Amino acid sequence: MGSAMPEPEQLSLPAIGAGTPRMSVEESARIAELLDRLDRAEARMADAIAHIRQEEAAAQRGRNPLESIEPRLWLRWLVGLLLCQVAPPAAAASPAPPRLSIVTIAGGDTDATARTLESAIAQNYPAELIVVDLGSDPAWARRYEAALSARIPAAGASAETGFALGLARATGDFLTVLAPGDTLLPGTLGRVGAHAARHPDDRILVLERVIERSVWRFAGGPVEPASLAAVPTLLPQGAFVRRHDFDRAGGLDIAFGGMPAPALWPRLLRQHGARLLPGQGVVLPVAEPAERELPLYATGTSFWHRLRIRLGRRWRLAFPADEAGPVPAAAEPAPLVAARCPITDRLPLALLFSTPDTRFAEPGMSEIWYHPASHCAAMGPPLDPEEQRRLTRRDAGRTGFVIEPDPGAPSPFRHWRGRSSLLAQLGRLNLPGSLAGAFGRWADPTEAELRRMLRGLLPEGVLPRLLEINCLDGSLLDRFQAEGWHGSGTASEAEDAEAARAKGHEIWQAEPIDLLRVIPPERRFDVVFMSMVLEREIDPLTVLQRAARLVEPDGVLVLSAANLDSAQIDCFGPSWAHWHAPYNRFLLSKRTVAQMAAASGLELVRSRSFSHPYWSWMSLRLNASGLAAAIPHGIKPDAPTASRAATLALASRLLHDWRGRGDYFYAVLRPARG
Amino acid sequence: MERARISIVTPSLNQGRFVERTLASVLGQRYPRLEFILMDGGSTDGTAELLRRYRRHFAYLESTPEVGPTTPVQRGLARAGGEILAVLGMGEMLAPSTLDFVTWYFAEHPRVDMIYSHRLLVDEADRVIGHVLLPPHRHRNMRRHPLIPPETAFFRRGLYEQAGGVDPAMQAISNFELYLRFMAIGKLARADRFLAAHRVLPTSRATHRMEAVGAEELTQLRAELPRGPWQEFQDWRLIQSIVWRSDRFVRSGRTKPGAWPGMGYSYDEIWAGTLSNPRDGGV
Repeated sequence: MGSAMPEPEQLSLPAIGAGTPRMSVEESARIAELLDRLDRAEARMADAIAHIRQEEAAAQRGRNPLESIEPRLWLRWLVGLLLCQVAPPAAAASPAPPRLSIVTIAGGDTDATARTLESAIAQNYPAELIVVDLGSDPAWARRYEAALSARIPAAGASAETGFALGLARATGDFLTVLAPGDTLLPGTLGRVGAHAARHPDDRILVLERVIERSVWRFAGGPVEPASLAAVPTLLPQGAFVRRHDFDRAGGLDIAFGGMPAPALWPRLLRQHGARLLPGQGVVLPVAEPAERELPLYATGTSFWHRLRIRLGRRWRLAFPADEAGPVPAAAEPAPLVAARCPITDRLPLALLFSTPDTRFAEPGMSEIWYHPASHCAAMGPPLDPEEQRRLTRRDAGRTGFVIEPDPGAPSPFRHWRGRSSLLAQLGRLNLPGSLAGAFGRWADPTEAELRRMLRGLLPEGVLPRLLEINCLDGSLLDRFQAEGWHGSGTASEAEDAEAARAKGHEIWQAEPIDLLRVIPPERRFDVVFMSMVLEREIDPLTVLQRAARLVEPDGVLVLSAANLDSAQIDCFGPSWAHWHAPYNRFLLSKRTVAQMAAASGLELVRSRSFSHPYWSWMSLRLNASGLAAAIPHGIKPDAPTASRAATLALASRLLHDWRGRGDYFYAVLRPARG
Repeated sequence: MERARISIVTPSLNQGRFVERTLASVLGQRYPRLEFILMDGGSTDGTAELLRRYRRHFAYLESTPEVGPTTPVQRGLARAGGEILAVLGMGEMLAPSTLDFVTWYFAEHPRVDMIYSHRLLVDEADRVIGHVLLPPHRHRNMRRHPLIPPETAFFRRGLYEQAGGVDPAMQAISNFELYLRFMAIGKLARADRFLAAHRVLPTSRATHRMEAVGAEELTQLRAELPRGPWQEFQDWRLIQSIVWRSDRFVRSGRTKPGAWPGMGYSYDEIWAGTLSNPRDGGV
């Protein structure tokens, strides 16, 4: 070590003194900007390191929650487990939801950006909102100043550069981009955050999309597990990427180069794959059907996951935008308001489609949402009770005119062929008139079905007390009273109540939700019957709970409702007659009724489904005309379609009714014995 | 179905805030053979006026300051003429259809003398804040711990009379002491549902005093019971089992009559909003 170390190279720095030329303003600004960028880059690196540590800790927690338990406690738990059922060791506290960064741009169309921002703010989730301002109105920018985490001025920059600048500034755990006008569905950020917190190994989360064409909204179609890399964009809408992985894949270059790292998105997908979350996340407005309707591809989903998507109930109720055909032109769409679950009050997971009033052509659009946990459909936007009553009156009046769109005019889902099924094929046949007459039972089946449902459930030798909720003019009560039953009813309308009273029935005038107010406390009934009541109520669970208190301990509550499990939905899709929005507020299934019954202290003891040719005829007519048409109920069926409807109803009876897939279902509930 | 006459005794003292909730939950049962006995110990917070409004619903209403050696519950039960008796504290609430279920249960199980159920806890604002899911009844378990929720207990009149009624000497755990005597002479059963809700209020100094007295009384009662070598382990096992059952109910998402899974929802929702608006329930 005798040789001397070489001297480090001396930098030739300019002397600083009185004669040194002063730095120009531009130069100092440039240096300040570089220093600022350097600071930000350092901060992001520190952030990324902290993130990796957190992630590792979370992964450890997720993989082996029992690892940190002391051996002595383990032993105690094990002994307890062998001898009796004991509580498992307490799991680690659930990790905090991650911070999500949403980047959007504001250009000439500030209204579009405003819609995007409003939808993000309405999520009520601690998200970081970043707007890259490509030259918007300053007054507009001030309006959202308080809600924004950052507003980056970049006048004149391209949209892609704008998104890149925004992503470079983002500090959340997950990043996503929204184009102006794109909106988040209610509850999306909550779902993404909850999933990301529970699954620290998931790097890219993808949600399905809703396609918005003027006032019409349709499902964007199920995500196909092919190559999402084909989407030519920095980040596709509906995809959330962990910032750490985004940076590692070259995202940080954006901050310095001003341009996204080349082929960033395909690289991210190749490295990590994408996790497909159930349900939809983003609404994309499109002007033309073909525009932006590229299927959203995801890699990394397993064969079983794909199979589940194809075979699952959601798939059965998916009516994608590309099958809807052209839509009539209309004004600006109203903001989306989700219809909550009638049992859990949770937000829906998916939007099925939007529809106008196809019965009486009332103005306005309704959205039909799906709740997989309770397997029911809910209609939005929510109505106030007064409006709901008006619609019920309108519906009961059954006065309307057939409105057919011109053959060349756009009418969504016109002649929609549905899934190929035996029922659909049979529905295209025309039974000869005599056969149609013989098999197609067009009479009102309510009385026969009610008697069938009650068979063997009521005590022998006692004339039961029957309460029919919404009995209209009491025609059903007439028939039961003729046999000696004690018939009572409730009617919402004074005229109906008077008409039924005139026939000698005991009638209370009240809405179904106010039953307990008007029926004296000492009155209870052996049979409480509700036909097509629950699905029209704003709060069906409350109505069922209150009706349950009128049932004798050994009595029953019978209800009938349109069936969301109907096989005819597969044939007619959105043109199935029983969607009936906005009059129906919910479409229930046997599972929904069982859950509602449990929440009301009742239990489901019997159920049965059936199909009726009249409603098959309605569906056939609507399917032939599309959703722009209006086909009121109560009109006489035309002969050719009636024959097909009779065939279809007969086929439904043979193939589907007996397994609970008829158009309607009856359910018998009785007080739970526990 | 032939309905048994049920007598419910409710003692009350300055609980004006919760009076209507309790009354709505009892009267909202729409039970035709109910004998509702209200024993107010001379409330000064407006309870008495409120009770007068509901006067026609009570089979007996006493509103005087506590006097004499007997407790209001004792006096109420002495007046009760029902075949099935229960004591419901003011502020506690029955679940919907509880009385129908109780009648049906006693009719179907003529050898059972007393039933009780799991316990549901609500706070001052009627929010559900906890559950205690009990294992099926075994004398061996229940006689060592005061776990039977008194608000859910319904017993036959014969059992009460045979046991000799409430012991006025017990200050804090008179219910438990009564159930111990029931266990000695009758058959008890736990219903797998929630028959009522218990209101948990912030503890006051008086409550702490009562807890101390209760602990002392419990030690005295336990001293008379046989104690096995594994007693501590069995106690621990029972408590763990209750914790596990309660935790599983909250997470399972399955409903039991009288309670929904999860916590934080209002008990008024179980009653379809008729506790906060008794008129909607026809009360």
